Amino acid sequence: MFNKASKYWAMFQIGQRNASVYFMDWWSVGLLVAIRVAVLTQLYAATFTSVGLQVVDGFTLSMVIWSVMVANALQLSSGTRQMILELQNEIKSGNVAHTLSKPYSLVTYFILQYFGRFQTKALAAVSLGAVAAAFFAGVPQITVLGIICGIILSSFGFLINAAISMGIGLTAFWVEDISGFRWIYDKFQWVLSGMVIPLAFLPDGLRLLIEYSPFGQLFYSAGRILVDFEAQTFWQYLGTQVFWLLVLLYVVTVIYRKGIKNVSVNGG
Amino acid sequence: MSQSTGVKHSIWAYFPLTWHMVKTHFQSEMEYRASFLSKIFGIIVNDVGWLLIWVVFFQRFPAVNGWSIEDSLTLFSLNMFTFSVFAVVGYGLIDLARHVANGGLDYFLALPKNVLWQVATSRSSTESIGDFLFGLVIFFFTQADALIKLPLFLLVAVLGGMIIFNFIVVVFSFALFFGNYQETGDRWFWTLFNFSLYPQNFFAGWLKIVSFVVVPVFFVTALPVRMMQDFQWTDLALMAGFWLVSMLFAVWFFNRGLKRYESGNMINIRV
Repeated sequence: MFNKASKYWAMFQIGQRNASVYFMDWWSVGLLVAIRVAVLTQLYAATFTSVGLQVVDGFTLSMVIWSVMVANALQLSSGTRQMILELQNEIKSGNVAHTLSKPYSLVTYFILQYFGRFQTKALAAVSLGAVAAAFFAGVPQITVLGIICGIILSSFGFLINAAISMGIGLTAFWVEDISGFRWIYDKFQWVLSGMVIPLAFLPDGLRLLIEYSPFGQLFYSAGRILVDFEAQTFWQYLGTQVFWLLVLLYVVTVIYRKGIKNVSVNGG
Repeated sequence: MSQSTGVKHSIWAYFPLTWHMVKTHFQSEMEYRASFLSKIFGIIVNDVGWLLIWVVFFQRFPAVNGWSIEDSLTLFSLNMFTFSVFAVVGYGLIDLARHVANGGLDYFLALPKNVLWQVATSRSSTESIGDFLFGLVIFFFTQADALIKLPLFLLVAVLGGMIIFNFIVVVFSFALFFGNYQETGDRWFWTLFNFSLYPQNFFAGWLKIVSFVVVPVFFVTALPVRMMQDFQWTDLALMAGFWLVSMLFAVWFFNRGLKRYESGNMINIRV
């Protein structure tokens, strides 16, 4: 049991160390978050001015900007595209046959390694994004509990994203080129995970539909709880995340088991 | 045959070749018809989602700095069409950083045609035909005198697509200087894509400079939208001028980086 845990802990650490090596990548993510924050600040400053209000649907300008900043920073740190691409290459190149002989689960390996990368990158991205958001839009009222709960929700959000990415990547067992699915998922993230418009601005029916879908729980919930902490909302989000994570992991496991039946190993 | 005629001939030869490459990608994709159609369906569902989000946004905030839903619909149709032009013809560029990192550029260097063209046309985002169709549909449904405006729409969209091409060449050519750059390049591409969907009249101060040069969203969609609403020859000249300058810079930057490229000595069989 201990050996198993230490094995997976090592995978997580590999991801963390990999991410910490590339400083250029950190700065690039930070710069992009800062640019996005600057653009969105101008957009929402103009928007708030156009309606002549300081608070819209319970959100001040700084709350909106911090919320979308967190969503953008988490999305940029998630490594979604790389995860899908790496998994596709693993399958298409036939390396998967080699990996299957190793004493660990391919799915767990990918998720934990990318989780390690995500943690390191997200720390840098959110820190730099916070500086930019504070500079351009000011600082909303943030509590310690809000930060802790935000970190928990961002971790579960990453795991949901990783499970969806794995599901897309594993379709490479059957589909020649999965870049199209990756492209579509990328666009879904932008539309539905609060990276441009906080979901709180949507009409109630649509908001609830998206907020409690897996997409709404990827990157939005962490930022939302950070700027406007409510214990009840936190537990609702966490429950939704756990539910979707279990469903998605089950689906990924089924796809994986079906997929590896397609692998034929030729000795020699 | 004089040398200049030879050069002209070689440049013109790329047009039918590009068409042939795109056609081959589509034929190859059509081998997996169900997968291809499901991707197009996914793209269109997503586009409807984007549109819905902005419709909801403008219902909540009817005019931002005078920018209305009608302006956004024009922007939307142009964005979808323009990016699909790039994605169908030059999507292979998105892999440039990966080729550099793993030595895969060797394969393209050994081929008889231009390296950049080979990389660009090595892959096509065929599913982007969904964006292409969606952009056209939105255009016809939202523009008065759509048929009269169609030639201009096509012209500015193709010019915009070529500017995106240049931007992507520059962004991914950084891989030739920094090595591991795939993820970062991807992020810049998506930043351009998404910024070009925002209302375009609120960029001010230093951000305006960023939108002109760093992430050229002004030339990719803001200027084309302005031309669709109120055509001025000077705007078209400005756009064409930016395309030319950005192309010269992109080719120079790529070639400069290419001199630093170190072969991976990788032996590959592509089937």
